[in-house]
Amino acid sequence: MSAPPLLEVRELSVDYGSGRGAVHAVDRVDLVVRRGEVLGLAGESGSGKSTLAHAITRLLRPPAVVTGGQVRYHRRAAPGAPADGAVDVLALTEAQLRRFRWEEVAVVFQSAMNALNPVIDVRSQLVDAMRAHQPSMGRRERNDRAAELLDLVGVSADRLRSYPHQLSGGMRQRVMIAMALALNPDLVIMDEPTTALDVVTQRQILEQLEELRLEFGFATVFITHDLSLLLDIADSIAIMYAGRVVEIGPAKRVHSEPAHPYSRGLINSFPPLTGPRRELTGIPGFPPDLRALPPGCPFAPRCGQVMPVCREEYPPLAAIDDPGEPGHLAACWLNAPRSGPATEGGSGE
Amino acid sequence: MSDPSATGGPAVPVLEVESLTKHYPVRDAAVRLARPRRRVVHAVDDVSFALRSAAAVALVGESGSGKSTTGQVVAHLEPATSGRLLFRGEEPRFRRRSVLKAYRRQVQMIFQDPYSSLNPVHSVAYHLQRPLRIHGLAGSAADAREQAIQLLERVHLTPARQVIDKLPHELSGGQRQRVAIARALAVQPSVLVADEPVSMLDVSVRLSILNLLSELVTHSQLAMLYITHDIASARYFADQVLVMYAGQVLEAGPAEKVTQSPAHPYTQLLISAAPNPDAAAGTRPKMQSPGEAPSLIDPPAGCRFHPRCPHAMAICAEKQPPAFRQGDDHWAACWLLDDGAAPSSQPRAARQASHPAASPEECAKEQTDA
Repeated sequence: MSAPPLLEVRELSVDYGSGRGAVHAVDRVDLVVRRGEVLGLAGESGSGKSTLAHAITRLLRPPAVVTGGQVRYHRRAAPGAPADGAVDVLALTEAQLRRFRWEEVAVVFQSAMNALNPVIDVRSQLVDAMRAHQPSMGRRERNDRAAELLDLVGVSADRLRSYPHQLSGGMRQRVMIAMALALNPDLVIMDEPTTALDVVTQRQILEQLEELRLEFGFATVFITHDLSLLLDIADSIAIMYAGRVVEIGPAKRVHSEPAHPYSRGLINSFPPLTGPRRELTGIPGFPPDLRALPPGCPFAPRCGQVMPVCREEYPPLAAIDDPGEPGHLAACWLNAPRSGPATEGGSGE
Repeated sequence: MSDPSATGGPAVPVLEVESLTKHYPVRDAAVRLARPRRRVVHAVDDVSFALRSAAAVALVGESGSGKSTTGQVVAHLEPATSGRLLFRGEEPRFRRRSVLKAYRRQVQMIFQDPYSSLNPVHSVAYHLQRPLRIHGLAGSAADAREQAIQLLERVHLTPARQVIDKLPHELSGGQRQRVAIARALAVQPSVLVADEPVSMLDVSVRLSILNLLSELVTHSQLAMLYITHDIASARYFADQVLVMYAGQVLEAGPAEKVTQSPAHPYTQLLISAAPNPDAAAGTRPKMQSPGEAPSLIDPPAGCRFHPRCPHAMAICAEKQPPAFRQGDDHWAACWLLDDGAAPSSQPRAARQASHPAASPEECAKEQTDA
């Protein structure tokens, strides 16, 4: 909690399309990533988690448009110099973006097979970013760094000459991570980095990541649909549903005291490997259709504790009554101090 | 969730496989030139198990472990290379088309991806009525439609009368998978092979599909083969668990035994790697098994897990371990469990001594040990 903020997302909204047919994929999302922290972003397909990651890195393509909000990035102060304030990511020029990506923020995507170029060997892909960003680096220096990077992620350096198809899925994902770390970024965004991998490989890569993180101190935004994984690795967790953050808080609190009925349902959707074998219910109903969201809380149709107010107004993301945990917020009328939306300013669509 | 003994399960399993083996020839010309001997991928080697009605057996393994191939051989989408498949105690003679058709009616399959297992240009009604027509189970068109509606109600896809005329793209993933399950149920099968039926679905709907399958097992007395990479869901859903690695079953037994007191180092690895937030933080042991699953063209000699095993001994690289019994119905194939006595009298599901590579030595070993 004490670490200074690295990335601040305020009221960020992203639409696909415009006008009346617009789909609000990300809807007024607030997030803070602190230096060296792992923020887990959990949600189902269509919850907006990947769109959010793309918006933060300015990777959105039409028809996606940022319709509001701010993304502020706090650059690392040069040694001896005072911190040079926050950068407005959404206002960066193309040239500034080139520096921002890789050097400040790197992204690891889910599908390493598609993210790696199949006709170029691993070495060339690793040195590519270095060549573009640090032209002063010599050829030998770059090659040495590429070998070092592979070694860091646990791939033997003789794989430098390999092409992506000659590597296993796990190795490809490790190469992706090595590329992301090439220029020592302060923030690494991981979009489902281990979803396509076997559990054992996944665990190995997660352990490796943790070691690297402790060594280099970068912060991570870890996006996944697998909440049980996040409870293992994240410092704090944000849970998204239908484009909104419905709950955010320290990972342990979200796990032990989930405040939103959707979070509770998600946590109860993973059969436990230990403890008593009990019947689990999951979450009734089906994920929402973003093209036709109901008014009020989008989770209301699936919620077991729905109240009349839920169908009328979207609940604000507010601190819940969690002693000693000021950072635990949830957007649910059940947690409202008094049942009465009258005092709340924000309203649903 | 159902205990076969409690329901007075029949003595004869609905479906049994014995020493099931499936090899695929290697088509890579370079490999063939380099080694003129005919090379094969050992997709499944010597797998045995039995499916009983009103019970679910889970086949757990990583990708490439042979679990899906096993399911495909059981559903006879692929013929076995060797080994026996018994349906109600008899070996079906698949070459006769009538036998194959009758078998297909009894053994149905649910696939992983409901986005590709339904035809996008046909309605839900078409998908459900087609098997009825092919197997002559529907009298008239009206009857077929009525049956289809009942099937949708059975998988809780309601209101059925509205869903039945929809096209797959109008349904969510969970709804599509329910249609796929209803289609499998249309011919009133006695065996259901479900190959990763929930892994493509959103987390929040997975459990409802698993619970539906569980309900079908119990109430419709189905025998289920549940193929998954997720050992936690196997524990939740199945009565028996078989753990596969590199084409072989390494451990098998009641779900609780296998997941709570795993005997094989690979099962232990699989369990320690699975996300488990309920375990106290910080207690997770470091992973001790580097590396990845071996090549199935040239599987390691001896135990196929030995190159990754933290407890590997000299014998592990030489001889394939037999099944060592760990209790009723629970066995594991690992030399660590060899307490000097001869391997237990082979349980039904155990690896038979008929394995071509191991049999002579195996027999010799059994004799010297005895």
